[in-house]
Amino acid sequence: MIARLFIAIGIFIGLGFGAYWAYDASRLYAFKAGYTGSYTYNLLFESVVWAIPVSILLGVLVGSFAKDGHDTHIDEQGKVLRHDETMFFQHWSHAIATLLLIVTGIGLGVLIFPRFLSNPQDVGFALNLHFIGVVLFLFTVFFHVTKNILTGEIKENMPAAHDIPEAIGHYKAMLGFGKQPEEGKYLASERLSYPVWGIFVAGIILSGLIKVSAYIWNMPEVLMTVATLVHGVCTVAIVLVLIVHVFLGAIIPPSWPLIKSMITGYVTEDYIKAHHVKWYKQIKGNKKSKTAESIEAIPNKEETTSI
Amino acid sequence: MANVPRKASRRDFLKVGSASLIGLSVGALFPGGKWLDNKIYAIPASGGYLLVDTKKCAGCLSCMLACSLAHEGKENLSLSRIQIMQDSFAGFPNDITMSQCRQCAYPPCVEACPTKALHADEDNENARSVDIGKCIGCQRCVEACPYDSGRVVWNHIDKHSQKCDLCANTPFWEEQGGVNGKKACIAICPMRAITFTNEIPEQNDRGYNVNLRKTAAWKRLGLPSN
Repeated sequence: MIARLFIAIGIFIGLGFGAYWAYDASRLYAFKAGYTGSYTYNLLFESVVWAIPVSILLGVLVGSFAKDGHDTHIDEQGKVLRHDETMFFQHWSHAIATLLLIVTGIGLGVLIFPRFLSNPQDVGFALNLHFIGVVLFLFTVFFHVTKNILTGEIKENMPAAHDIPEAIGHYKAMLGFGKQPEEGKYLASERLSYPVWGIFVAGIILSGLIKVSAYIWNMPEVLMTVATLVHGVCTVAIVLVLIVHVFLGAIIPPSWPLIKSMITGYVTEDYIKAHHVKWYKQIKGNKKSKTAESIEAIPNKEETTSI
Repeated sequence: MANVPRKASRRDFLKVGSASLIGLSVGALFPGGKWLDNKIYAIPASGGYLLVDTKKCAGCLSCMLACSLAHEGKENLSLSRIQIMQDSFAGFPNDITMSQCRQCAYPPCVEACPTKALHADEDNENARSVDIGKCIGCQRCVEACPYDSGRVVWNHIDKHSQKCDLCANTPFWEEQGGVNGKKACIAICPMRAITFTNEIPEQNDRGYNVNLRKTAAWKRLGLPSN
């Protein structure tokens, strides 16, 4: 728990430093000597644009060091580690970056939604805060992707054909119809939502990188217009998906143990016995369940990485 | 449960790690803005300039309405690229200020633009113009214009900067504009208080606010021409 506290403090210190940097850079200064009344502010997207490729590469580098969190067992107090420190860092730093980007992005105006900010100093502050969010966002995304590819966890996150009926069964059970299907560590509905996130995050990153490249190269007007449109559409989509994610992952009562474990790291044995039967069987090393899973044609690789 | 062996070998890790390190080194040397077209550092002079005579202006705002109408299709004073300000408490000739873009020889607005949206338009004899598609709405050009009121105007409807392009891009006006064409404000002004020159004016108030009253008609009216 101490490690998580340090990670949280670290994220907030970084965020505070970034926010101050953004604020400081957005203060106007005399721009042109000899032109009284000519002011400008420091736009971090322009002056520190190199931090964008560096944040991507740093994410890849740190991600390649990260370990998978699969040393799962039930401890003496009947608790199971579901979200290790790496996951804690990755989830919350990504969440904070996403929120920062959404708030500043909406403040600057998206698609048909008007701009809330009017004077250049406020616009500069929002743009610079957006830059801080971009650096953190790119780092967390590339950290996550690199780690999951190198550890093979990505296979657990990607959906399979059998996830659709499982997810339907899961939601039916939530509403009181039918029996809860046997779920692994990740719910079928979580796996189904993963590529949805992936598509919109990829869309927003690609269009964002095109927008950023305008600070370095002389980009064609048409490409900039298309990138801006795609960026806006992905923003709205991510906001909608995020609302659903927060609702299903933190608001409704069945998800409370999971949001708690996203902070403390642990779920109870009773909880996984009730909601993640497959995972529970795997933890227990139940040979019978493994046989049953092989009949259900669950890939062997998933089996090995999940244990 | 025992630890599961990693899917990536040490060799893979070393490859990714060293590639990232090389990338980081290159990234740290990444010169922000250095690869921009060299032209941005030597901005060519505009081929044309609007001159005004505030002593002649009657403050009818026709030029503002014509500017907005020709460019935006709307008679909206806030969308006009030329601004006429009146101070009822100031005596003549300080009661009227005409804020036309000066197409500065060293334009701070062009230099402040981080994406080259505000540029010297080669197709229009280097009049300082905004590529709307490239404008990111940072408003640095608005703040960089040293004059009051600023000659770069924020389009509050379409959310981008805009400024006088000497009527090069006037989709709602049938006349051919630009440096070598007609200008809506000049065409509409009933007082003939706005004119145009191809010569770079003296870069101060005196250079842009000139005497346009030395005409025979003005003298016939018995008004002072000095």
